[in-house]
Amino acid sequence: MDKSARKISSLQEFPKDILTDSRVKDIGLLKCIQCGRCSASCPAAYISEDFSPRSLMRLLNMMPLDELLKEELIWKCGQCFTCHSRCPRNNSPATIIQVMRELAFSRNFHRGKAETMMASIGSNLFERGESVSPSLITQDFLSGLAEEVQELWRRMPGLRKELGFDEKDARVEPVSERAKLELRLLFEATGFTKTGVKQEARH
Amino acid sequence: MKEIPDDKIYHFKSCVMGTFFPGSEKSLLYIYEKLRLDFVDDDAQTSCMGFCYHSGIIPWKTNLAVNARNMSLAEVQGRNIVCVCPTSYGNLKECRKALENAETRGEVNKALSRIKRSYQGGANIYHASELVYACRDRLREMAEFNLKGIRVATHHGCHYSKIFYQEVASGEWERPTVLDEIAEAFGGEVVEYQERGLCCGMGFHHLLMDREYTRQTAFRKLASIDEAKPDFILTNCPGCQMILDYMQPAFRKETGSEMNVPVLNYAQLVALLLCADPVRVVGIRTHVVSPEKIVERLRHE
Repeated sequence: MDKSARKISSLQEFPKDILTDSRVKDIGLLKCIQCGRCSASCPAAYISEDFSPRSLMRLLNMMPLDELLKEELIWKCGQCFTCHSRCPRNNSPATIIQVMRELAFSRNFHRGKAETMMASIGSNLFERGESVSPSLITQDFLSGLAEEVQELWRRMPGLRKELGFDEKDARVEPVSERAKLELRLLFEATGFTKTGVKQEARH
Repeated sequence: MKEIPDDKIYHFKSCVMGTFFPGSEKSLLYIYEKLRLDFVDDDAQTSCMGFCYHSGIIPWKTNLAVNARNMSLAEVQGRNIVCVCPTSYGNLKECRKALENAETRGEVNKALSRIKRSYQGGANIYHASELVYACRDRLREMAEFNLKGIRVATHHGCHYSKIFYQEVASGEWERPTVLDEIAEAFGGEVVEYQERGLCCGMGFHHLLMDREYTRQTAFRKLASIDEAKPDFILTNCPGCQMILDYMQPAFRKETGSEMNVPVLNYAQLVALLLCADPVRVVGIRTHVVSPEKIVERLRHE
């Protein structure tokens, strides 16, 4: 991140869009004392020069929200929730980051990421009613993984068959057609579309 | 002490487990059958969508509605939901907690009415490792083999112990001992290692688009486990099982380590001790690090 480009204004209110989210209301974002217990526990902060949950919580009331949502910072977290359980003030940086990711997508930021995920795990929900399935373990997924993993997946269709599991689906019996229809109706009712999070879906 | 009911089970399947380790699921159902537990395997259950939810592509409202539907399926049958995946466990519990709010529940039920369903909050949520833990004495009596002289490194999935951290069935969140007690019940020796509480590195979107977090975190975890020289790693999370297994060849190549430690799910382990077929039930061929040698050892073959 280009730090000179970061417009740091003086302290401002925490953004309303974060504070009013029902998952955030009851946790201690406003009680954060910047103690850093979250950052000391964080596997992402351990390997990243510019990310820590503590500083991200601080940036929330130092930067205009949209600018912060555009940052790569919100993608560093691995969602392990160690910060959530260690925080002495009942804050949950992992939850806040999750809310920020949803907000970023609803405002059309990080389109490339949204498209990549919607093309795999997202559209899989429409097709199979599952996030992950063997059909997603393509050459694209396997590239960069060890040759031993690629070799295993060349044999996987046969191995799955031996175990009585569907070759392309994660299950023995795929999700029923009726359940998939119900799922798609719920997506429609709550604003989840094949192109990703829709703005009006929030709140 | 958390009470774990062992009847009226709604088996909540996992997309990650079914994709990478179908034998883990098959082993669990094998155990349920051996224990003669009353369970259903329902094809109306959909993914909890946790993988997508933590990646930010699922609106909260959608997550709530879909999981209210999933929970309502167990509720109408008067069953307890037993998840095999810690992320489903955490996600369903988060939804359940949010749905205690009458206004939220009302909104979600409006969406559910479109599919002629409703959510009243009847089903409880457990993790299958808790159930196996609760039944460990019975299972030990039924077991043909034991773990005497075998060193076990345990790893509890973060979403089991860190989201609802006050509700781990054994130990406490900084040091959950559900898997330790399962291994010890069969005579295994649980080894200590420094990074016991560290994430495996899966990181959801990281696995799909930016594997640096995965690589570095998994290597840090594996290096710490390697120091303890266990005979196998025992986990209760399908995502962790995949990362800790799949990343070992790369870890060896990059660090010069000789680590080659199989990663077993608790259900696979118990099924093996109960004499289940290692290939046809436990599915040991779908692993990158083959568990064949440890299977031979624990069966004293």
